[in-house]
Order: sequence, then C-alpha cells, then structure tokens
Amino acid sequence: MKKLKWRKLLVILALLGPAMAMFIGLTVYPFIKNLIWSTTFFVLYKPTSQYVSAGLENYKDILFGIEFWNSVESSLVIVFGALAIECFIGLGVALVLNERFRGRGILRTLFIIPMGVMPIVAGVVWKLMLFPGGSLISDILVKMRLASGQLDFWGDVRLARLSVMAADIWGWTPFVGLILLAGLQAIPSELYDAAQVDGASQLQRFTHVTAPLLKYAIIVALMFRGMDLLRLFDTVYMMTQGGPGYATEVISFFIYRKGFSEFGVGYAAATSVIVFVVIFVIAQITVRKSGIAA
Amino acid sequence: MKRNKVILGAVVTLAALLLVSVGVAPVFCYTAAQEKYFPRVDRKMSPFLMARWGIVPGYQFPNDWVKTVDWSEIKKKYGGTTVTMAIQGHDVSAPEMFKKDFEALSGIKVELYGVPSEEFTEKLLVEFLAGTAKYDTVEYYQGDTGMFIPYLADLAPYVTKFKYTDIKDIHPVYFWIHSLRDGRIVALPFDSDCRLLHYRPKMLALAGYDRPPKTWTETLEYCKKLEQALPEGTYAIGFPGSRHFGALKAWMDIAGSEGVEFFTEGWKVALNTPDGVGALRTMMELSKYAPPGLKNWGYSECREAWLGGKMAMVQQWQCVGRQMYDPELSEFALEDPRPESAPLPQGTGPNAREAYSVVQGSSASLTEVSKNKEAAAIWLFFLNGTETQFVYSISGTGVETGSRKVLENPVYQKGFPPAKAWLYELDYANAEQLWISEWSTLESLGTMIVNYGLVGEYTPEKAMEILEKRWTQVMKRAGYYLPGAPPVPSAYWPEIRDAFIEKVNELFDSLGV
Repeated sequence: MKKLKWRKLLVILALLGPAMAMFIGLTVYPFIKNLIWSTTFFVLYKPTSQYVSAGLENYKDILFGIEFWNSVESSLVIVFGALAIECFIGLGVALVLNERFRGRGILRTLFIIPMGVMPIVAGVVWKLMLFPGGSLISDILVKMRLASGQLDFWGDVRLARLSVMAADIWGWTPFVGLILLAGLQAIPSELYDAAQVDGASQLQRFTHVTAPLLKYAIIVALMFRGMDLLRLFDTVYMMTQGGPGYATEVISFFIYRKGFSEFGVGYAAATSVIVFVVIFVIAQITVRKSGIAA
Repeated sequence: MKRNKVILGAVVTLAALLLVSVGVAPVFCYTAAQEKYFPRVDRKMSPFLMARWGIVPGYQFPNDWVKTVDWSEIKKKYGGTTVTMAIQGHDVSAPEMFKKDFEALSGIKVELYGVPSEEFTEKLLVEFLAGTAKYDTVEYYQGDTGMFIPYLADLAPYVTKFKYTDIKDIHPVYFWIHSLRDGRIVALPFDSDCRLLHYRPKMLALAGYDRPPKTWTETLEYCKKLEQALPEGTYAIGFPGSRHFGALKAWMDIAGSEGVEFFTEGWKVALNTPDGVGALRTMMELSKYAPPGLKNWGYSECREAWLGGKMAMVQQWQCVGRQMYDPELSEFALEDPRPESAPLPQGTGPNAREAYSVVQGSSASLTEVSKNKEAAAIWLFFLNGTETQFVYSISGTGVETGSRKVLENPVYQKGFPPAKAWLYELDYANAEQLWISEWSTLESLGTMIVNYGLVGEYTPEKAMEILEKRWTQVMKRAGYYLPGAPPVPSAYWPEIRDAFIEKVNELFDSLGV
C-alpha cells in the first residue's frame, strides 16, 4: 500500500516536476527578483546599486511623476481605440462569415492571413507605408482627394497614435473575428427559428438572441486583446519608438525605455509591479462581474 | 681619364641609390608582394569619384604605422590567432573593408559581430555584467564610455610595445572625447563626428541668398523667405528631431552657441535658463519650415530626406556632406552650383560664444576580458592607422576619421569637401559628454524631454524645468551632491585646450612615441 503511494507520488512528481521547475524558474523567481529590485535604486551600469535600498521611493516617483501618467494616457487611448474598432469590425466580419455563401472557405482563410505576419514585420511594413515625405498611404489619400498634401504620420500626435492603432487593428481583428465566429456557431439555430416564429425582426434577433449569447465570447476576446494591447511593444518599437513626444509611448515601451535606455532597472521594476497589479485587478473584476468564473 | 670619371660617377650614383634604397626600405618596410595588402585609396574607392575629385592612386601617408611595422615578425608571433570585435551594425562596413588586408598582412583572423545599433549598448552592457562577453575588441557609442570603463583595458602598454606612432596624428579634440580617462588610454577614435550646416546654393539663390546663414536668427529669416521661394515639396531646413536619437543634439547645437552649460559649480544643473529655453524655442520655430515627420526623425530618416532633395539646408553630421556628392546616393549630387557645407550658425544672445557642434562618434577599445590582448591591439592600431582612416572616410563608408593629419591632407579635402568647415569647427567644439557613467541616462532623458517640447506637448519653459528637475534627481541619487564628488569638467574645448594638449604630450613622451 505504502509502496503504491510512493509510486503514485513519483509519477505525479515526474509529470508535474518539469512544468513546476519551469514555472518557478521562469515566472516565480523573476517575479520575486523584480519585486526586490523595485525597492532599490538599481541602475544597470552600477551593479552594486542593486543593494542600495530605495524603500518605496521608486513607487512614489512613478505615481507622483508626470512620465508614467503620460504613458498611461497613451496606453489607454491606444488600447480603447484599437479594442473598440477591432471588436466592431471583428463582429461584422464574424457575422458575414457565419452565413453560408460560395467562397466562404477562401474568405475565411484570407481573413486570418494578417495573424500569420509577425508583429515586427508588420511594423516595418506599416512604417514604410507611412514613411514621412514619401508615404504610400498619404499618396493614395491625396489621389483620392482626401488629403491636400503629405500627412505628418510621425510628427503629429493624433496621426501617430492612429498609425499604431491601424497596424494593430490590421493584425489582430481576425483574432477577435475568429473568437466571435466560434461564439456565433455555438448559438443553437433553434433559438433563431423560435424568435422568427414569434415575429422578431432581424435587429430584434440580434439584440435578444445573438448579443446576449455572444457576451462571453466578446468578454473573452476583449480580455485577451486588452491584455495583449497593454503589453503592446513590437509595433511601437518598430514604427514610432514611442514618439512623437509621448504620443505612442505605451506602458510596456515606457518600462523598456526606463530599464534599457535610461538603465534605471529599479524604476522599471517598480513600474512593472504597478502594471501587474492593475492588470490583475482588472482581470479579476472582469471575470467575476461577467460570470465567467461561475 | 674622362671615361674613368664617368665610371666613377656611375659607381658612386649606384652606390648612393643602393644606400638610399637600403636605408629607406626599412622605413617603408613593405615588399612588392606585401604592398597589395596595405590600405590604398584606389583599391577601395569608386573610379568615378576618384576621377571627379582628381585623386591620384597611391599612398598618402608613406610613413604611417601600417607601413613601418614589421609584419613578418607579427605574423610569426601572432599568426593563426583570432581576434573578435563587437561592432554596431551600421559601422561594420569600415572594418569589413580592411579585414582581408589585415588578415593577409598579420596572419591574425578577425571575426566581426555586427549588432543592430538600437540594441547594441544594452546587449554589450548586459554581457559585460553577466561575465559572458568574450570580445577582444568593442566599438561603441562614445557617449557610453563612462559606463564601459570598468571593462576596458589600458592601451598605453601596447602603444609603447608596438610603437604605434599614428596615435600622435589623432586630433586632440577627438583624443579628448574618445581616448583619455584618468590618465589611461581607454579607446581610440573609430568614428569621429561633428555637425555642420549643409546647404544647396541653388536653392538659397531662389530666395536671393548667395551665402549660408551665420546665426540662428539669420537662419530663421532665411527659412521664412525660402518657404515662399522654394518649389513645392522642398522645405527650407531639416535636422534629426526624434526622441530616440536626435532632438537633444539639435538643441545642443543652438544652446551651446548661446552659452548654455549643462552644469555649473558643484554639479548644479543649469538648463532652465533664458538661453536654454530660448534655444528650444528657436528649434521649434525652425521645425515649422521642415518636412513632415521631422519630430520623429533619427539620423537615417533625416539623411534620406536630405539626399532625396527635400530640403535647402540641413543641420547634420559631416558624413552626409560627403555623401551628397555621390550620384548613387544623392538626388542633387550634380547640381550646379554644387552643394556646400559650412560651420553651424551661431548664437546672438547675451551669453553667445563661438561654439560649434557637439563632437562625438564611436570609440574602439580593447576589453579587459580579452585573452589575446596583443593581437587585438594590433588590429585596433591597423584599423586606426592614418592611411586606413583616410581610405574608409574618403570612400564614403560613413565612418569618419579622427586624424588631424588626414583632415589637413589636401587630397582628403578634395575628396571630402566638408573637411575644411569640419576642421574649423573643431577648434571651437563642444563636447556634450561628461565622461560620467550617468551620461547615458541624462542623454536619454534629455532627448526625450526636448522632443516633448518640439512636438508641443510641453512649453519650452516647462520642458526645461522638467529636464532640470529630472537631471538633478539622477545626479543626487548618484551621489554627486555629497562630499568628495569629482569636479565638473568643462565641455567647451577652447577652455581646456592648452592644458589638455600639454598633458597628452607628456603622456606620449612617457610612452616613447
């Protein structure tokens, strides 16, 4: 009996061990190290500074300084802007692709192509298309008489934010579309038949059948994309480097700049702790309020 | 009798020729077989440009180090060893150009590791910190020297051992900013830069001007007039204004000439002054006459716009002034009258002084971790040989010489037309770098906040106020306001020139070169 128990324990350890070791080594340990560094004045070029205690000074600097809030503002504008448009277009595309028509398979394949392009590559392509002075997109807009001259995609705060959002929307709307499509396909067709028998219009069927039953799929898509967008880095790095000014300096880029451009590891660590707490709280509230946890 | 005299004369002449050749040979110390491996301009430069500038094939510096060192001895001793070099991706063309020559001469194999410049500093720093860096030599942005010093070896013993005499040719300004730290030779100039005002006389003539502007106030007046006169799609001026690499330097060009110093006695930050704020305001005014996108332009974007013919004037590094004559790179290379380069405009405020561009570039060093220091030093000396520098600079690699001998060379001045303005500026140079390890942090913050002002997110007053506060905080945390802090070094060359040159001469005497 005892031998059997030991054997069982060994099997459990063998199966879970590698995963646990990875989890501890790559998540728990760096997290604790990050937490410790966040309370020091550690600058990368002075290794001994990692032992100089800062108490909560870094947190105070971040929360009472202007730079962090600038990046919060940029992040919120880009996150909410991109999320809203991705959801809106994604839902439209999912509704179309849910219908039966000739060529639906080809259209579905074409629709997901942008997801296969690496964000860094997409960033380069978008950068070239918006290159100041010779921008392809500006030229098209001028030819269509929608703009009078070359647009300052890199120097204008609003246009720079729109450019980053456009690149993200192009790349990730298919992902939102796919989740919503899966949600749509899970809705039993009997519900639509019953609503039709009851005399519900197309709009009423959408608002009373589709929307409520698609709620969880929308929340899942929003959560995934929201968290992804809060970690947005590669597109910004490639396209704008956070500029002009702080227009596109999203939080993750801000942390990178503090850690690897100003070499303030302590400050960057403290910022990432704050961001972690915020994302954790938002995710918890979203999960609980939406009823997904249940 | 007469016949005997002729024979005697011939013998004497022959003997003299023999003696001269025997005497001179060790000086040049290269054989016909070896000669093909020495850096020579006609083997590296486009024949079109050679003909255009009237550059005669052959050596310019027959007595430089590369030609006087005994390569057969070096080959015997170090042949078969390997030297590694970590280098910023955009600078790799210059060592690539000479790698094979060096390997053939010395028998030392060279391995170059090009890393994209955006990630170069952090990669190198993290590798040094982690103890995983195995490079024998490194090339890095000169403003980061303060950070890398603990990992750099002193080159002085190798200068003596290999009698590296070309070190005396380095322009003292570049020796000041690249090489000497606390009496140690920690680096050699690899890429030595300076900013100039490049302009197109043909465009200026459209607004009735026959010379470049001499002050920043005048530059603004030029811009206003040029805006009316230039053809559509051509703008008056441009400069790199990005928050990544540009805005701070463009501001410093103006601020330096208005008399702004970063620090006063006791490391008190002195940026939020009427001159500092005024410089940012001038920069913002100038940007109104620039092409779209300037506020996010780094060096490359600004260079592309300039060489693409989008501006009448540009405030840029001197290499761009060389590239603008190359028809393969520049839209207006053959424009008549030809494009020119001039010293940067000057300040007109109450504290204005004759101060030109910031001087900087990238440095090449021997690392402490190198297990092959002697061979690595030979590679660095070869790469910084006077003729080598002449060739890689004049052939348009974008990696520029720091040798005064090269800058003063008439052939170089023909092939590198901005050289005269560049040489002139060096006498009144500003060096923004203060050789403290915190400089990288200060520079990053400075570039960022000046760009915020340029974009209009902060007023010039607010931008300078915030920048001053943030710099003060960095300096305070680094302990500069505690007793025992080092003295503030001057960043203005004319103020320290004589004392520095004397110190360097003493050093060279002690090294026996």
